[in-house]
Amino acid sequence: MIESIMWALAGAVAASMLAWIPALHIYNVAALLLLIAESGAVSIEAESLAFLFLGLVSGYAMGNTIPGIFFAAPDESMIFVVLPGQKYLLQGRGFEAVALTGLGGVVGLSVLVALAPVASRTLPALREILQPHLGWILWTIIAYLLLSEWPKGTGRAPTGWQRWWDGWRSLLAGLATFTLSGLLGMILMHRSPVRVDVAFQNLMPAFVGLFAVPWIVTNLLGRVSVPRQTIARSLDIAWGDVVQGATSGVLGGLFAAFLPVVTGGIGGFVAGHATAQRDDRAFLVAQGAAKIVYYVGGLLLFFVPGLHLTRGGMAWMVSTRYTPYTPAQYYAATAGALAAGVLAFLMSLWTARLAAAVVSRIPYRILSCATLAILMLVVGGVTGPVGLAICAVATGIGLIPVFWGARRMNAMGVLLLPIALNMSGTGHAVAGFLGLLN
Amino acid sequence: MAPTRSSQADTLSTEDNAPTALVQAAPLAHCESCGRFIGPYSRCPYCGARTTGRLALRTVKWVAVSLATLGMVVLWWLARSVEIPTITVEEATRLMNFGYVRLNGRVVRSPTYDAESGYLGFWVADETGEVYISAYREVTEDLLTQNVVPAVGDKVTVAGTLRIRDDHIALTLNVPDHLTLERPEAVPLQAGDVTILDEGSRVRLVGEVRRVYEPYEGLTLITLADESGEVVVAVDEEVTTLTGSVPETGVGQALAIEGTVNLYHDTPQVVPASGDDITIVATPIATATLPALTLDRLSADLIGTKVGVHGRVVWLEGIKGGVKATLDDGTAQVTLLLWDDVHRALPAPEELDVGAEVEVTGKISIYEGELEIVPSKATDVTISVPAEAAPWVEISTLTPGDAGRLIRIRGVLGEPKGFSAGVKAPLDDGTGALDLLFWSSLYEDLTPTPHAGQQVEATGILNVFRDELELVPRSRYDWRVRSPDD
Repeated sequence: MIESIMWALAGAVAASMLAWIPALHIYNVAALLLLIAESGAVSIEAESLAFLFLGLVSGYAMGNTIPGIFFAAPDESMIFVVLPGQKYLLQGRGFEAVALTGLGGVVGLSVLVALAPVASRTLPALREILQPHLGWILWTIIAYLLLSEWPKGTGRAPTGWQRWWDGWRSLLAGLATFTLSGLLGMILMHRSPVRVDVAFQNLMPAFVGLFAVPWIVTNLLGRVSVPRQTIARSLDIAWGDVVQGATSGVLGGLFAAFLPVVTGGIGGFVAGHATAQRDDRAFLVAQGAAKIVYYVGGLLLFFVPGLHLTRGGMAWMVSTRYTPYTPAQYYAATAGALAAGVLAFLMSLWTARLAAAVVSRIPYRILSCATLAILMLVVGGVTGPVGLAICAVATGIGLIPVFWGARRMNAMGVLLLPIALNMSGTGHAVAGFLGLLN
Repeated sequence: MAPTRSSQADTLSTEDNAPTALVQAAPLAHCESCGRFIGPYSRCPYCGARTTGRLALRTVKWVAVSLATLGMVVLWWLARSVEIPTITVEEATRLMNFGYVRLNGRVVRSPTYDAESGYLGFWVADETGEVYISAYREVTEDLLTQNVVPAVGDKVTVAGTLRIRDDHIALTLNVPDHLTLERPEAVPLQAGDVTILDEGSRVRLVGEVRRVYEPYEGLTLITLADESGEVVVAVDEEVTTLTGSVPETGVGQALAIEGTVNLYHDTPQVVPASGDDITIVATPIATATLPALTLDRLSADLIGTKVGVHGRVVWLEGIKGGVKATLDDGTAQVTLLLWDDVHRALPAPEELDVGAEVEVTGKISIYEGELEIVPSKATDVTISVPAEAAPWVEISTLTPGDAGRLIRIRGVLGEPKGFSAGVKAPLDDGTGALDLLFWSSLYEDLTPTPHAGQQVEATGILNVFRDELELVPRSRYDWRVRSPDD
């Protein structure tokens, strides 16, 4: 067990270092490690690899706050954090935003540990109950995402059509984003032009294009300059807000970890509404808790005896080489995740200081260009020119909510729409209609 | 000049949600001509100078919309023109997880089907390995409607999503049209001519049913014989559920069967693809008359061949599902395996015991390196000299040195007590007591069921367990409850 936890800690350290690189998703790192292990160049026990991956995902769930806030390069689970995070950054409080998000993450980890003794009894039963209903639950989430946009605008434009456009453009943009990203998802899931030998990274160009590149484009166009960052010695939040934020975040994270396709961001967002959350600080705590419960909790579900639920890309990658069977392995995994998560939290405070120093000294435009270059290198390197083309199309879709004031989370249609269609048994009819099944 | 709404809309910075709302003034937020702060305006509201170097938001918006729509159309066209890659099982690596691929191969195991969930699964193999194909309810329903039901031996082309977990490679069939089956024409063959070399071939047989046996629920084995020999036909319940029932069959009935030759522990058997592959034939079938062989002439070369032998039973023991006798004809010894249905159908099963002389017709097989002769029906076994009943013994005369002896005792039964593998019951004959040990499979078969107070007679092999004597009956015929008339 000690050896396994050491592997998890090693993963956390590696992830905390790598999380600095914008848009380098830890799933890509894990895939690279898998590739190396497959080639036989490095010999590693399947269980050790599983715990290394657990540490990687724990470290990443903590550490990905840094690029999300300081370099505005979020992944799909960080998308809600960027806006309040950038507010903090532009007030010189980027470090505080990282610390608040990390605080939520630590609370989220604590809840995962507290749930461990009952998980093996309750979760398999819960799965039995929910399994037949996943289709309509997903459609409900989609409906909620789309319907929770509301008409904006001042209603003071000179003509009726202009007033209508003012009010409805964000809703239409949201619908357009969801539909276009959904179509992209249908294409990628049914007939992806990405090479089959890297099929496990099929969706990566789309995610980078939908979520990461639009922020960078916005920053480049907006010519953002970041003020000098202050390293706070205390956090501007009361314990009550921490509890409220963490509660809603944990609920959202559990919701996301247990249901397919729903990410920590969506879970935290829905739970935030359910708990009437308004405060930015509590929101950051909630998003921190949601993403750690989503990433780490999602992988821990794979270790739960009698459940072995593969939720999320990391669980799928681990499952290709390792299957846990005993409660001891589950408890070891929980302990490993806790140790790795806490270590990653402490490291994120240190790396946030470093990031604060970097963004204060290096022009943000250069950082954004460098981030964009890294993104393109990763996408192009793994999936080739076709991946870059997919990324370009996804970027176009991801920019629609930016320019027309809709929620960027509508771009999650890339997963939500095809999976919801499949679960309701109509996915193949739609794909057939689109000519993707010939 | 006052700024206008339209000039604001031309440049990026004040859109909803844009993170630049709190941006510190960048150098280009000041007029290049008069140096005053002009924020996002493209024309200075103070001196009227037009700013340079700012990108029109309208242009960026058009680029974004073009990428999102025209780019999507191009991507859609590109995706439609992409051929599904065909790979071998060996080529499927973990990095292809979730890839959509096509495989060519042959169905190597009977499909499994869960009517409640609509889940259909079957194994396909090519020269490099095996892959598990699965289909969920909607796809399965479509397949059944189109009567596309895979069966052992079918040539298959299948496309779907790869799922690789541990060392298990699976492919999920998402589209019914992405499964195509090709069932080869059946080649007429005689039962005795079916060998392991025919594995994978689809054959047509006409013969007489020698035996119908259900080793476990869901599998029926039909022994089909013609003048050349016998072959076992394996009918899986899944096949009948998916394709329709098979005709009611009984011993002596003539059948025509089409199916694929498959191996079970190196013994060829024929697996029909559907219920329609088994039809009743009205014409009687001539079956083989076999010359008797001495036991020393039996060898592994005769595996699968039907032979006739005779000999004396020198040992008999119970096994799960039947009894196993050792035959000796003076030249060699061989195991005679009688499954329960054959053993019970003998005119006097209790006469087949140590000392009996028998003539047997059966198929040669091998189990754990030993040759066996396996009759398929009771008429294949003729007891020419019945065995004499084992002598009565008194329990007090038995010692551990008698272990391994076949003995017969009578007495009053005590309370039966279960253990993990069966039931033990004490038997007291007035001179002493020992335990009767019934293995589970035998205990469930005993009539009447043993209970305390019964006066019983029991035959069996004496055994010693933890220094205690116990008697192990071998079959239901080793157990008799005495009636008051005895």
